[in-house]
Formats: sequence, structure tokens, C-alpha cells
Amino acid sequence: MVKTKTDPVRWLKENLFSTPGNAVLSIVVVLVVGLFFKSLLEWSFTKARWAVIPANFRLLMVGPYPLEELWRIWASLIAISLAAGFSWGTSTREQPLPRAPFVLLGAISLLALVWQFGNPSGTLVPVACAGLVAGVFIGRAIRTENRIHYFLWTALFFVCVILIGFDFGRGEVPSSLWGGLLLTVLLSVVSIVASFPLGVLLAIGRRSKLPVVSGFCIVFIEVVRGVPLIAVLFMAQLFVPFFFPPDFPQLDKVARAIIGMTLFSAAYMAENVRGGLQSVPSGQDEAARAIGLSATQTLFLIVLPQGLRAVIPTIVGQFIALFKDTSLVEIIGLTDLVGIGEAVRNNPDWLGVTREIPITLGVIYFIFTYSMSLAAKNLEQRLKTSN
Amino acid sequence: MNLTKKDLSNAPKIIVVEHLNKFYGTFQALKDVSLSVQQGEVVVVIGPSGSGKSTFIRCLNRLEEHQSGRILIDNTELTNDVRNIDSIRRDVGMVFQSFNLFPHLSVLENITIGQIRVKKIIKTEAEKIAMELLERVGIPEQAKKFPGQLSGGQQQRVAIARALAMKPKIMLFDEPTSALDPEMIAEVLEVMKELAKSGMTMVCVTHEMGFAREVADRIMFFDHGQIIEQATPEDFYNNPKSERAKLFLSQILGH
Repeated sequence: MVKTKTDPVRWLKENLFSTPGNAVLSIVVVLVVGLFFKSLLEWSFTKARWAVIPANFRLLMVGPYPLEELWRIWASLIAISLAAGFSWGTSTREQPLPRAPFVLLGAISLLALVWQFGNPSGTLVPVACAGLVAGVFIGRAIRTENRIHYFLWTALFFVCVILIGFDFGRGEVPSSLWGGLLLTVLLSVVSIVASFPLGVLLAIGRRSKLPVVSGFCIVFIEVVRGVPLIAVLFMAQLFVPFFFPPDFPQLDKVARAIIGMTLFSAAYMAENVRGGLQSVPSGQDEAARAIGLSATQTLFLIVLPQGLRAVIPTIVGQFIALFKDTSLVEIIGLTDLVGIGEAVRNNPDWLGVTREIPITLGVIYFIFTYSMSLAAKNLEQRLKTSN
Repeated sequence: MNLTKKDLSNAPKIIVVEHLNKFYGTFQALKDVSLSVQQGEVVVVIGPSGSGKSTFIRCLNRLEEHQSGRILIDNTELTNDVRNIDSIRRDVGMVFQSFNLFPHLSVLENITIGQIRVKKIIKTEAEKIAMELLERVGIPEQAKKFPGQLSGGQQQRVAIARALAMKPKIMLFDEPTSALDPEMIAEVLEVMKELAKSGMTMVCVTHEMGFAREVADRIMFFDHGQIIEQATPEDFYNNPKSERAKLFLSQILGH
């Protein structure tokens, strides 16, 4: 489409003041929005004490995680940056290199060098950014098969969990010390990764011809969907220990929360996937069977790939919801990002500081969820061109 | 017209159907259908819609289950035994009215997936076979595209190549040209004619009179789940014996 230069006055007339009713509506909306932003900006430049954020930045990011063990987080972060860059680089190999992301990374690095994110080790941010850039160039240079990415990310997942929690001769970092954004991301990533295959299996099970299998899946899905997440989280705390012998080392709170959220999310995932499976025409199944593929091969090679493709937006929406729902773990005594925010707000040193924290948390949540949306859009676009 | 009629007198019977009955609930879709098809024979099945002709050929590779009677494909009986069904499906290729290509796979992958997963042929060999088949159906240049990027006629030719890749002994065609725009029907029929002349055993549900006259060895007229009439194309089109066949022919030839 050719972009034509429009006269701003005419544009206003056509779009905002076309009828008297529209004109009134436009004026009211502009006034309300304007007033809101005026007071917001006034407040944030005069009254707001933004110093609360840098002063508590480490707390918001990792909670009470011990300072001398922070290298574990940094190592994980740098490894993830490298891998993310690599995957991004390989998937965009055919396209010209975009400039905007690199400018953004440069700006973040510069900011980190100047301000250090309230922490001396903030100087490692540029290292992570450099890792990402290096990953992109490695990814563009090397010919790889798609399979490598699955291996890479699965391996990385376990490496990070080990890095964050395990003993390296100087004591482990117990999960009670995990908090802030670290805990939020950890809870949601593990729950998302675990609930996806579980949900797919439940969806397949629900379609099974064996009454025992389909019955179990239906009961599980309907019961879990009928219970609020808060109740599921409480039950996971109280009931998971039942399933282990008394002398067995008990699962910690974080693991129990993950189990609860995984089961909860899997039930919703199952229904989404079932919708996708139903959208695949029966002719696909018949054609696959007619060339001799077995029922299992037909499901995994023909029906499931098409069914999942159809529900990518729904699935991502669910993942975004799960990411935000992790904030509910506060009620079982875990201090995720929101929990830490509350703790900072109640800190006597920062009495009277109320709005700054929620605004910051909102921005952080938005960055994460919007990235997920963008990634999903990108994935859909790529699958569409190959279809 | 068809001057070189095949000599089928010594050919073995590759499809034998005896007293086949098929019900959907209380509705009887097939009533006591019996017939046999010889190797290399081309049978065209015609009849009004709802007459059971599609149901009949879908029974031949067990996409539909029959309730009583016997179906023998190359001397193997179709029963609930999964091994029999799998081995028969390897020998019987099928082409559908709505193509049913796998939209998430490229043309080449559509043709190789069965070879690789069912016949365990290595990928490079399977791709070689697929390219030969695409040559045969006349669209080798489309190999890397996805089904959604092809015209209906091209998609149906890919579907024929996909079925042929399994090296079937029998090919079933379920109204292969009914979903096509008129200008694309000819290209698909051309491929089917070539296939018939190469000696493939074919059972085709189709209303294409020209095709039936040119390559069919036998016409089977279905109505209300029964075979009403069987004859050579010349006999059937020129002097149908049953009233229902006469009525049907007058309806489809009338305009």
C-alpha cells in the first residue's frame, strides 16, 4: 500500500469529529486521558521516590538469594543469552540482520555499566548482551538441523536448574532463598514446560476408545478445571507429602507449587489441544491410514502437528495467564516478584512509597508477556509461510 | 475407441467380495454385494448419490467396517485383525474426492512419508522415487511447494503420486474429479488413463463418461446399496437393461 500524506486537520475531522456525537466523545476521552497522564507525569517527576527501585533491585530480581552465590544466576543468564542468540540467529539466517535489537542491547549494556543495576555484578549484563550477539552470529554462520535446538534447550534447562540450586562443594542454595523475578520465571518456565506434554497426553487420552483411559482423563480435567488455582496450590502443599513414604526426603515448597501449577495448567492445556485436534478434518486421518501409517504414527505425524498449529494463539494466551498466575504463590509463603514487591512496600525504610513498586512490577510483567506474544506471532508467521 | 481390449481371461482374481452387508445404525448402506475384480482390470462404479458406491470402495481398504460378508484382497481376508488391515492398506492405494494432502508437509514429504515410515525406505531413496512419480504425473517442479500453493488438479495429481509411492497392487479412486474446476479435470483423468494403460488394477467411483468408455473394462451400476447392473461400457451406455440405469443415464446425459 502506498502511504499518502494526509492533512492532519482533515484526518481529525474524518476520524474524530465526523458527527456531533463523535465530537463530544472525542473531547471527553481526550480530557479524561489527558488529565490522567498529566497527574501521572506530575507525580512521577515530582513526588515519586524512584530511588526505591535501584535500592531494592537485587531483591526484586532474585529475592533473598545469597550475594556470594549470585554467580550461579549470572552463569545461567549468560548461557541462556548465548543459546537464545543462537536459536534466533539460525531461525533468521535468510533475513537481513535487523538493527533495532542490537541498538537496544547496546543501550542496556551502557546503562548497566553506568548504573550497575544497584549491584556491582551488574557489570555482567554487558557480558550477557555480548553473549546474545555472539550467539546470533554463530547461529547465522553454522548450518544446523532443527533437532539441535530441542537438545540445546532441554540440556540448558537442566543445566540452569542445577546451577541455581545444587551443591558445588560450598553448600546448596535452598529453594527457600529463591525469590523475586527469579522465582517467578522459574515457577512459570518449569510449569509451562511440564504442563505442555502432560496436557497433550490428557487431550489424546480423552479421545481414547478405552473407557478407563478416557474416563480418567475426563475426571481429571473436569475436576482440576472446577477448582480455583489458589485451592490447587493449597492442596499441592498439603497432599503431595501423602504420596511419599514418611522417611522419604520431603519435596520443598517450590517443587510442590510447581506440581500444583503444572497439573492445573495441564487440564486447561488438554482442552485447548483437544479443540485443535477436533479442527483437523477426518479426511487427514483417513488419508494417513490409507497409505498405511499406524494409528500412533497418524496421530503424531499428521493430526497433532496440524491440531497444535491451529491453537498456538490459545496456548500462548494460556502460558501468559500462567506466568501472571504464579503471583498467587505468595499465599503459600513463597516470595515471588509480587511478594518481594509487597515486602519492600512494607519496609519501614520506604514508608509512604506505594505506587512506584506496582508500576515497576507492571512494566516487568508486561515486558515478559509481550515478548511471549511477539514470539508466538513470529512462530505463527513462520508456520503460515510453510503452509 | 478402445481397440486394444486387455485379455483378462487368465488374470487371477485380486478382489473378491462375497455377500457384503454394511449398516449405519439401522440404515443398510450395502445390501448383499458380491463381485470379483481381476488383476489389471479397471472397474468404474457409477450410481446416484447416496447409492452406497463410496461406502463400497471405502470398505475395500477398511476405512469403513462391514458387518457381514467377506472381502478378500489378494487372498487376504479383511477382518478385525490389525496385521491384515495394515498389510492390505500397503497394497491398496486410495485417492479421495477432497485430495486430503497433508497441508503441513511439502509435496515431496507428502509422497515420502509413507515410504519412510511404513516401508522403512531411507530418505534419499524415497525422495528419488517421489521425484520419479512427480515426473510421471507431470509436476516435478512443484516438489518443494506446499499443497496449499497448488491448484486443485495439481493437488490431486500429488495425491495420486502419494498413493503410487507405496507401490500398491490396487488403486481406489473415490470421485477423484468431483471437487475440481472443469478445466482441471482433464489433467487428472490423463494421469488416470496412463495408469490404467500401465496395467494397474483400478476401482473408480466417477461420473466421467469419456474416461469410463475409454479405459473401463467393466461398469458397475449401484443403487440403494446394491449392484443393479454390470456390463462393458459399450453395452451399458448403449443399451442399459434396468429401468433405474436408464433413468440415471437419461438424467446425467440429459444436459
